[in-house]
Amino acid sequence: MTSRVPSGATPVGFAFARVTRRYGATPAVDDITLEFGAASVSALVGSSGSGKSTLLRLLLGLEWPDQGRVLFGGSAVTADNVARIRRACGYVIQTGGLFPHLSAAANLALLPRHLRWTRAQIDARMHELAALVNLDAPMLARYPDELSGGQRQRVALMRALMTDPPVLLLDEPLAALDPIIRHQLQDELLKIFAAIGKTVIVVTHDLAEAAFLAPRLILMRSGRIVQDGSLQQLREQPADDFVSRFIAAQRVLPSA
Amino acid sequence: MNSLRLLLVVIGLACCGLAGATTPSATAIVVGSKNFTESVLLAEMLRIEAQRQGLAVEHRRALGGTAILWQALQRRQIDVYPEYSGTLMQELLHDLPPHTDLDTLRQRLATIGIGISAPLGFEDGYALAVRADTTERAQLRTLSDLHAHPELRYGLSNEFIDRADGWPGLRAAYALAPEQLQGLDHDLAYRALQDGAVDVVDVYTTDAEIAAGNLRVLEDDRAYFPRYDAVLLYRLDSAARVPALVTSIANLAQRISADAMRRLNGAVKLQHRDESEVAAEYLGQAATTAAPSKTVALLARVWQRTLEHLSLVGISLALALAIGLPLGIFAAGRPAFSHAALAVTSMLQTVPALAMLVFLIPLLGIGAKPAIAALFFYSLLPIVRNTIAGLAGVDASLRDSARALGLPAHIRLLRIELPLAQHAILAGISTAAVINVGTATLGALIGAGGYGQPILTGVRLGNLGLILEGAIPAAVLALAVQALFQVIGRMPRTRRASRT
Repeated sequence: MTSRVPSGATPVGFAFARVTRRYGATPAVDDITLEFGAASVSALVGSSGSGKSTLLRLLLGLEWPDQGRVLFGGSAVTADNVARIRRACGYVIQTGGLFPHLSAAANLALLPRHLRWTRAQIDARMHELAALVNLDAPMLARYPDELSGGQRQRVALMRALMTDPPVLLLDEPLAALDPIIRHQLQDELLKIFAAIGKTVIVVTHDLAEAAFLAPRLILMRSGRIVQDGSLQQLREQPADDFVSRFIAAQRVLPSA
Repeated sequence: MNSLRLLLVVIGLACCGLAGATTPSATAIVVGSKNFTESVLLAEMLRIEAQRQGLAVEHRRALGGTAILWQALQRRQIDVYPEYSGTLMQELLHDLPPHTDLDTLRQRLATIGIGISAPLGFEDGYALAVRADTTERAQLRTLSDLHAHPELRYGLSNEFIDRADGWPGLRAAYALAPEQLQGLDHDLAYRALQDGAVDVVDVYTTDAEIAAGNLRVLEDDRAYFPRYDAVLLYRLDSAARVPALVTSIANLAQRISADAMRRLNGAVKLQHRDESEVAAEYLGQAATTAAPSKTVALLARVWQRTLEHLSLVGISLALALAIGLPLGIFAAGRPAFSHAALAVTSMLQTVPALAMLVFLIPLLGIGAKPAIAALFFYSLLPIVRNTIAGLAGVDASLRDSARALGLPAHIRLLRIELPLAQHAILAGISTAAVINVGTATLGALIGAGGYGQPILTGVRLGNLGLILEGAIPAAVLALAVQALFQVIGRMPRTRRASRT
């Protein structure tokens, strides 16, 4: 059992090999093959229902592929190793996923305590992360419903990073926030990604946010990958008409 | 600590305390009696007589109907109880003809280890009675006359309606077809008759109300009813173990005439005198139970019954939690199993309490055990159902967040899912507890004590004060239990868990 605070875990890559996941007859993920290199930062972009969240859930073993294999650090995700893989991934969802009956600090301590960290180790890590995500320490004593939306997402990000996992999976982490907080957190996330050096996937339906946070954009539609490349590639060599329309759909403020 | 765990600890401690508080005393002989005055009086006389012989005797009063006493005797829960010869032949030993003599009866009973005393001196048969004005209006004298009056409303005691020697045979023998027939408690039937709510009731021929209420007993002109000589039934092994019991029983032989019995019944039922006192007086003995000051006695009685009642409710609830919570947890997320679990627990819920008690006596005897078992069965449905519903109601995104954290299943259950479901689960436990407080009053029918004891006695003796002595604390306890759960539900952590 690990009983020290891990620091600087070696980044790990993962891959999807011809993965299909159906809900009834409709495929949510349709024969997808993708590779994510260690310490890479990528964004999965697409409208809702395009299958981008399902990819994260397949990686975490919250769902299982009907066909194909999900590979984590070279080995397939199975029922036997899924617990280890989940602990190797920090996961943040749109609503934060904080447990409402536990204070922010108790939410953060949940997994470390199960891993038998000492109180001092947990506190030290908590304060280190609070500084990283710009959260005032007194907020940690509060319950989730006593925190603002932005504070909740900061705590959720802290919870995902508590045990310093090599992978960070963010599923629409900023979608529920107002534009100002959102803008601020986008800046902070960019800094955090650079500081922690982990393999990161951000899921978002906002192309501007995706392009701001990640050098690699994977545009999805109906469970398939439409295009995989940089913003420049998407702009200059759109794979099809959908890519162009998706890019064109980003509204810029009208000039005064 | 979350409130669900707190509650479990409280219930656990309460049970330990109560279990410790009720220690059995050294008793040589246990006398049982049925749930009507005459039976209680006869058993009381035997108790006094046996005490005079130097025996330590306990009288478990007014346990219930024939089935319960007969079972209790066979199960060694009691050593002796008053019975009637007709009941033996008609109801308990179906293979004997209705007019079997006492010696044959004695031989037959000996084969199952039971002894029968000499007759106590009087017969208390079944009969049908009507108000005097009804006899005049309808020209009634005999049971045969009833045939021509199907419009009369019958209010018969439930036991009489069901007994082989009761209504089914009587109806056939006299070709009766009343338009209205209701099952009533025997003691309430007299009141219903006086109030004009019914016209015909079944009576025992030694009932004091017959003369007092100016009622007419209809003649059994076709000799349908067998003889109901009062006797004592006892366990032969108890008699061998305690020879003084045989002496005490023999001392009561031919001691009580029908007139005397009617007078004694009247002293208790109509003059509201104490049964022990009346019995002792008749035997020429001083009452053996010194009456302490009335208020102290009342408080002590209520306190004792509160302990009994709480232990019935507490222990059954603790057992139901111990079984129901794991069952609900296991069933949650297993639709086929949860359907089966809910079907079984719902079915248990529909078994009437009295039927449940009678089923349980052969397995558990009489007293607290079968009552606790019955309450346990009734508690399962709300607990299992609410546990399943509570766990199913946990937000899917929170459930997934817990899984994605990499927490093992048991930690997720204990730290996340159960706390989030605890509002629903607490509501289920609260429902079970409140229902149990009410249902536990029926435990008095099988000697489990509790608030039901004064209620039953009060109904039997027509004593409103006694009824209230049980009914008021029961209502207060139900409210207190309800309030307790509301307080637990309002604890800050609990409230927070409900806001997902």
